[in-house]
Amino acid sequence: MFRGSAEDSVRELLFEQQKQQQIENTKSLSKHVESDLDRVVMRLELLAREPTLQNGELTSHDTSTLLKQAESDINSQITPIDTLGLLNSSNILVNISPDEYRKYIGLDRSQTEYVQEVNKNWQPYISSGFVGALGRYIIAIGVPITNLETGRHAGIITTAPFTTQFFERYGNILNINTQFIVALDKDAKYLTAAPPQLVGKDFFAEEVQKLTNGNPDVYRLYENAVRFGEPGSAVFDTGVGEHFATAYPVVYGRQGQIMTVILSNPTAAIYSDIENALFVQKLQTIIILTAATSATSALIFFILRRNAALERKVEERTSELRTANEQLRNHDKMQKEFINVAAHELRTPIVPILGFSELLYSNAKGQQRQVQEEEQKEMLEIILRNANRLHQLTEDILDVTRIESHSLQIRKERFNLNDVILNVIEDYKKQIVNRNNGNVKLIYEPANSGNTATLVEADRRRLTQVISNLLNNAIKFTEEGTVTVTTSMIKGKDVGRDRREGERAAEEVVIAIKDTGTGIDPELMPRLFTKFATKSYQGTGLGLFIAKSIVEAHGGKMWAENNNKGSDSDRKHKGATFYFTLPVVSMTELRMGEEKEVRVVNDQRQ
Amino acid sequence: MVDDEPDITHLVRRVLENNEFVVDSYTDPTLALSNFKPGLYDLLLLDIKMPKMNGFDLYQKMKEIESNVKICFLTASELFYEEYRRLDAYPRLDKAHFIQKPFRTEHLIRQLNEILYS
Repeated sequence: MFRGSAEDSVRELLFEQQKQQQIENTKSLSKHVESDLDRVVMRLELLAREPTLQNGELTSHDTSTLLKQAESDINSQITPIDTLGLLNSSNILVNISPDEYRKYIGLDRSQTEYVQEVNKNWQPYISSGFVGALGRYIIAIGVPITNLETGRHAGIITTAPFTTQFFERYGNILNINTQFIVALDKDAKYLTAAPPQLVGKDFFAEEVQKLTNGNPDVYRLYENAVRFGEPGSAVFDTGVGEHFATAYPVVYGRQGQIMTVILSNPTAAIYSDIENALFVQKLQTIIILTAATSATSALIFFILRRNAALERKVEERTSELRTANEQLRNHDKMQKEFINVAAHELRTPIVPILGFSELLYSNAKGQQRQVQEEEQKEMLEIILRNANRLHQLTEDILDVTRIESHSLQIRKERFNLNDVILNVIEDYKKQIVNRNNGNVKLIYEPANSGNTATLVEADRRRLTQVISNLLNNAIKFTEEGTVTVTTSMIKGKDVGRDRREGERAAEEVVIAIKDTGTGIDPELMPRLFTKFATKSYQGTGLGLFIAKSIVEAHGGKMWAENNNKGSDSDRKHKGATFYFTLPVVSMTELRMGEEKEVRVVNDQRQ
Repeated sequence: MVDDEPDITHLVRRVLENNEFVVDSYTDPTLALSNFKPGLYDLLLLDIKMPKMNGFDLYQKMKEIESNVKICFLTASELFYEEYRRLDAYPRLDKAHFIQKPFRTEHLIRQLNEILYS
């Protein structure tokens, strides 16, 4: 029933679709390879983070157990490997699993190429193919062990998947006939092939080229893919029947292209698939020719498409997981750093508090050599000062933890911003008299000379905290000169978060605190608002981070600039200015005395 | 003694002087290093985390001037055992050469005496 040119054009269409499917399959295979190699690396990185390895205990019983576990995990969940070994910081093999290879312990691996590569950049490295100690073809994967706290290089974890077995697994996953999978490493040596004798041989070597009868289409396809990383496809006959081959590069991290995968299908197989599909149609007797053909080919096409879509989804998910994992690791690392610094900062003031208290107590009990009255006063002053410092630090660290766990509570009320600023300024004016910088003048220049109220809806206590922190910094870094606080109105670009019905589009107030002090070190600028950015004798190093978080929780922004727009030599005399914005309540809506408790999510990620 | 916190050098000096030690204290490690001469001190007491130079590096440099100088480290960080492990380069040292902050004064004296007279 389906004879003549109609059938031929259907065949052509189906052939094209099969080719397209094979191209998609090859790309998909390459992504799977990348993903599986990455999984091995990640499992080794997980092992590298185990405490015993972090501590450099590479030969302990616990470490050996962990090695066995990792070896078993990789073997069962990812791909068969020959061994899993540990090199110490001199690249000597000090531990290995399974046990029957312990005879290799003591071997110096520092001349091995992939070990040298790991040492070069101190990053995971995947090698080209080579014959392993067991006589089978392998690629080696080396992952460095870095102590996350000290940065010390503790050693390297090594493992080697068998190449043919690595690729055999994809037969099931991608419904590909595995004998049609070919893979080459970056030196164009076969990692897997049919016939298997090709494994380890160089594609460009004479003896291999003889097998392809020097076919130029094959040569070009392989060369473009292996040497230049270009995906491609070609139909050719090398004397063993016509083939359709598709090539795709495999990329890993910094190394770039490490392999090339090629699917090489005999076209006879493709045609017979098509014949089967057509044969099914031929059994239909009632359906109209064109409608039937297009329906069936559409059906085949649809199924092929859906397969491809599923593959893409898997690829996406794997990539998403990789990114999420990366972010999580970074976040973990930052949290650990914060804890380390916080612990140090908290313990430091406790030393003089405990120490001088002990001294004074012994003195009071009559045990120690007498402490003079002057000295007593001095010691008590030190205790007091450090106790205050500890108090401030405790509050700051608590604020930071609130911010990081998104539970910073903002209690909003409406009030005149000018009042709050004036209060803080009055406080500091009194303090300046007692400090060394009695030469510093404090000036307030409000918008509209303070003749109109600047109504904001904010947490009074927290806002005072922000202004106080900025003023404190300004005064601290200014030996003499002026600190000027100004407010001015601008039209906000975005609508304020808590805008109610009937209010006009948000205006914003910009508060600027300008000093004539030492200015901000340009090297410090990018980290200015991060935790423990500066470690000054009096400060906690957390003030700006907290201030910025508070401002952002109100829907505002905070930033800082040096006042000199030109040369660095001016910086020391011109000082810096810190700015922050707050949404302003429109003047026409004066409803006093309202309070609102709002739990605010802070999106700021460090 | 070298520690970047003046309140701590003040405290340790006072405590040690009460126990018949003679103390030179510095908050600046580079200044301490430039004034360091062999035979001047029986014992070094060094903070580890200092902004200009860390205690290990300072100790290393001082060892180049006087190789047998006795040492005790003061540490406030979480990395106590990690830092102690870095001493694989110094086989004669161990846990006994570390004092963690905050410390009891009698513990400080006792530990310093042990290092001095062992």
